[in-house]
Amino acid sequence: MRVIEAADLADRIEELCLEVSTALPADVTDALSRFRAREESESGRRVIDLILENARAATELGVPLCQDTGFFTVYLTLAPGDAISGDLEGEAAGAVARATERGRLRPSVVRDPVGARVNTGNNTPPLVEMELSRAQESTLGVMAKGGGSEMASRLAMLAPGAGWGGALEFIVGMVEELGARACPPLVLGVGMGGSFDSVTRLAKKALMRPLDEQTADPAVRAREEELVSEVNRLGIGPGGHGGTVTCFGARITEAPCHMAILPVALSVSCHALRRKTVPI
Amino acid sequence: MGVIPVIELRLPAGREALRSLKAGDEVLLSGDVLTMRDAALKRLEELLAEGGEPPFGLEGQVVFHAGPTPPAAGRPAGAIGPTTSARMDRFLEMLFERGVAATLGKGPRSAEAAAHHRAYGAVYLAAVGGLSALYGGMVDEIEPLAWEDLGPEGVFRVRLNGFPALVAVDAEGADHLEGRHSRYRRR
Repeated sequence: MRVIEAADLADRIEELCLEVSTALPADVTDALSRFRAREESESGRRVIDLILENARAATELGVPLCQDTGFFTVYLTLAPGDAISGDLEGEAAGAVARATERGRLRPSVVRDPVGARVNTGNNTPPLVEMELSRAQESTLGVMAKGGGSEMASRLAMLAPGAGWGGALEFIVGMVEELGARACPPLVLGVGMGGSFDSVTRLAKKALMRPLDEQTADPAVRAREEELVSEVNRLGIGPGGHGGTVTCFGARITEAPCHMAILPVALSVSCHALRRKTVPI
Repeated sequence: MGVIPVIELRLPAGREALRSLKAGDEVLLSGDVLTMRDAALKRLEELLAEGGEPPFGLEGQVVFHAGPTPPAAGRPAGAIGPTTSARMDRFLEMLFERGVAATLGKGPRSAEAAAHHRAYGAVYLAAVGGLSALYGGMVDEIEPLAWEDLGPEGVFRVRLNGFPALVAVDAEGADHLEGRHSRYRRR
């Protein structure tokens, strides 16, 4: 058995936080460029050009892609035979605080949510998600998610009879209602199945999956394609200024669930899908 | 869109100066705006309810729904940009009653917000969310004005220099974005 010391992950978490804040991943810029060709609105194409130009400027200047530098989630996935030792939450919080200082990130986290909402000043605490996996190697991932897109995310507990049609209707309806506020073009992370608590994690973690990675199950792949195509009929467009590209990717993760329920969760990402996963 | 002439505006400019703007016009903003977002607007609401007065004037101002990052790369904000305005629709009438001429933000507004724009003759200017590394280069100065304890949600005077935006709701209450969505809708 390999024991990973949490303290040994701190520097890598800090570097990942800094990298995702200033550099848009290649799979995201590639997908944006690909969808630009499908945009019928001239102003929509111009917005996509500006998004790509913004990404180049952020990386070149070393400034954040967006003033909303987001709420950080740290994902640790342990492969069989690996274990973690030490205070991962504490190490992750320290890493986020140092990245906030070094990267000149905006402190965007408040405590006492329905009370004084005092800013913690350094984006702590991050959310730490640890899970076991049967994958070959353990991984460490970081996501920075903005408040605007998180506000457009939703959960529905559907009846099993609703099926994919009902799930699709729910998701497209939510994007129609809230998508223009969430900095489109969007990437949609969807969870289906599982339970009330796990389906939202599935949806958000689906956003970690690269947009250029082909979904293994052909039925799920077809659903992802149908979702993108249906959302792009809404007309919201890049920047919400009207157009045929409201969404440039969907990632769906499914899980077994109780026979009485069909949980469906939508985790919306703005065009600045900021995340990276590395093997450890 | 490229053929629409861009209107250059010096700010602050009162309601009268902005009244001729039409939904869909493209503008380039230069001069001073005040940042106010969720926390500052809530504090203003509480202060006014107690009969207090804010330590800054709002008459004729443009309120920018934004919370900048700290200074970086030799500029006053590394990244700055609009946040979702609809979230602050509940505070809109309060701002218009205090003489605010326009809000600058992003995204669609509620139907109720459009009615307030018509009633007060104010306008809503929309920028694009998530272009904040570029927008950071269009800001000459940022000065904290009040409520620094709110951190990035405090009130800052921001001096813009050629900041592009779209007139999304004009003083007649006409909503530009709504029309744009229907134009490309295929359902």
